[in-house]
Amino acid sequence: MTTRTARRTERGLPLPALALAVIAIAFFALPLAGLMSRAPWSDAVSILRRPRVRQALQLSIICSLWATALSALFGLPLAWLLARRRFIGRSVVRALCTLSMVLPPVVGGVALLFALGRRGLVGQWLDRWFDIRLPFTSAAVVVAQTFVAMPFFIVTVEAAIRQADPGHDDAARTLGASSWYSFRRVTLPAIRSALVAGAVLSWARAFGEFGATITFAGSFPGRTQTLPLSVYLALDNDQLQAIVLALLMVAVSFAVLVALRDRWLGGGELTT
Amino acid sequence: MTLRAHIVVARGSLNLDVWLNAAPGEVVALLGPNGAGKTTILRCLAGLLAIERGSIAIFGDVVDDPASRVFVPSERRSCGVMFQQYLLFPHMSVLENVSFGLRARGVDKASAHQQARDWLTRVGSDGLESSRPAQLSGGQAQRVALARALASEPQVLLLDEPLAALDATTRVEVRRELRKHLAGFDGSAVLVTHDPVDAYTLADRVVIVENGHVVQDGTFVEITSHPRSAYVAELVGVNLLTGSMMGGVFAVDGGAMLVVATDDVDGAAIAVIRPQAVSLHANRPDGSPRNTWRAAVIDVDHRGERVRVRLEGPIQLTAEITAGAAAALSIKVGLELWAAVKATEIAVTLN
Repeated sequence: MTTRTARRTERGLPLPALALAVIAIAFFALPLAGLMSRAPWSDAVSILRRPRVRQALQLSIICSLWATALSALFGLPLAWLLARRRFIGRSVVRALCTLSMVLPPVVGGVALLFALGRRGLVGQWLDRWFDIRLPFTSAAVVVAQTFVAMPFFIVTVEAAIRQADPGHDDAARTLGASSWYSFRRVTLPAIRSALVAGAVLSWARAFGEFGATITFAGSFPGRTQTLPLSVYLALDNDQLQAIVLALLMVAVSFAVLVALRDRWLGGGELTT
Repeated sequence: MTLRAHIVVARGSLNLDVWLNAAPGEVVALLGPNGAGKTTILRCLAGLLAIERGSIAIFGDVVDDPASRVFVPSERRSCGVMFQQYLLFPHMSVLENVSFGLRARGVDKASAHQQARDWLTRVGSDGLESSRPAQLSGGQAQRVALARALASEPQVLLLDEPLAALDATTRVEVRRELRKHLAGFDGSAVLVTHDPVDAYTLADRVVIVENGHVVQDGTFVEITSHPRSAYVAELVGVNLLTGSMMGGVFAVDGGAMLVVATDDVDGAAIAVIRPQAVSLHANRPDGSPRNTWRAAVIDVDHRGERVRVRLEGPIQLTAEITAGAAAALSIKVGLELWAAVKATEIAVTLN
């Protein structure tokens, strides 16, 4: 008897490598399963309706959207600068602006405190001259989130601007376009999918921010206590609520990643 | 002069120092090897690159002059540029591409689109208005790029390798159209190419650029008979004859006939004959070369071991022979002799 093997052009992975890959998948899947196994599915809706929970969710959404908007507003010019202008110390500037991606968020929060806190480097002047005290306000939440989220926008958009052909900008200029007109009509449309991807990634990062927020903004319900903070605090006194909130965040983040996959990893929309 | 430029700029290992003039209606070809600085010259003229010394004036207006701190940026120069890869904006329709220059200069949408449509018709691309650049063939993209460059009615038209990206068949057709549009263009046109045939068919004057310097400037025939460098002799110093092909015979404009080795092309054509392929004889040669004719020497250019001999007769071209052969024939101006060229040495390209 002859066995016919399927015609395959891809070579199979060596067995040990396959086993390791499967373990890695399980490593990511198990915690989710753990959460779901303990989830109080019947009480989920009522837990989500609790004022504290709704407050935290609302605060999280508003602050993370602000952080995303600020990341885009400041991140886009910065990405353009890093991608298109050569200047001394560019790699140092790039490292500085993306440092918070790899920095422990708590360290970021402490650093923000020493810079913008009441007795911080800049914060003391804000306090003295403008009567602005940033720490432990909702604004501080936005600042902390922006601090950790903006690098994701910068990195994504800078890569796209680098990939976009600078020749198109040259062509626009020879046709009489000012640099602003060319940026608006030629460069921006070329990097549209990266703008979306960068905004979504930085939003997701801001939405899940914990360390910098709790250090710089504290954890005041309704003011600075975002969803991740309330998950952490609920672990002590109300595990069910913690699980429901955790699952809510998992669902949101998962949905964002899946929605993003085609646009971003799939090379974005057609460039035709 | 529409265009008067002295461009001095350093780019990497290239030290560019060239003088370039062009009269209204004149088409100047910049011909030279890759890396000679041709594209850099265009970028300086277009204002995409500032010169370090020298000056550039368009219709008498100085647009770049480092000594007096004048630099008019690209968007305020009247230079239309057709880039080598066309650089059509990929996210815009053909109509939006062609009207871009007008819109950027503040023309309202309706009339910009109307003018763009007119230009598309003129370059034979109507019907493509709503297409995206990625949907266009090479020839179509070239025409659209030309329409886009011309639509803002520039005083100077700069074309960087306008035919290089096209396949052989499209090239012939597009070259013919381009010649028509260049003939109808009032301003000066500067054309970068490394193909002598393009330079010959499209330009009134050829400027040879080698290693950042102009090595020769003149009409094609002047350059073929007196190439001033080895490169010029080798690559540009070829004989180009216009005429037409029919049934394996090339009829040179003016009446003479040449037998060629190809018989699969018919119509307006250019014959390319290397000067080394033209042999000279005191008496009528017999044997294989079927293409023989009486010619008179009108110019002799001694180039070391080689001699370039400009011939007049039914076919005007330049022959290159060894110094020994020239001595044996006692070549001098006024001498009458026989010229011959083998059919296989004639390359024919449609015009």
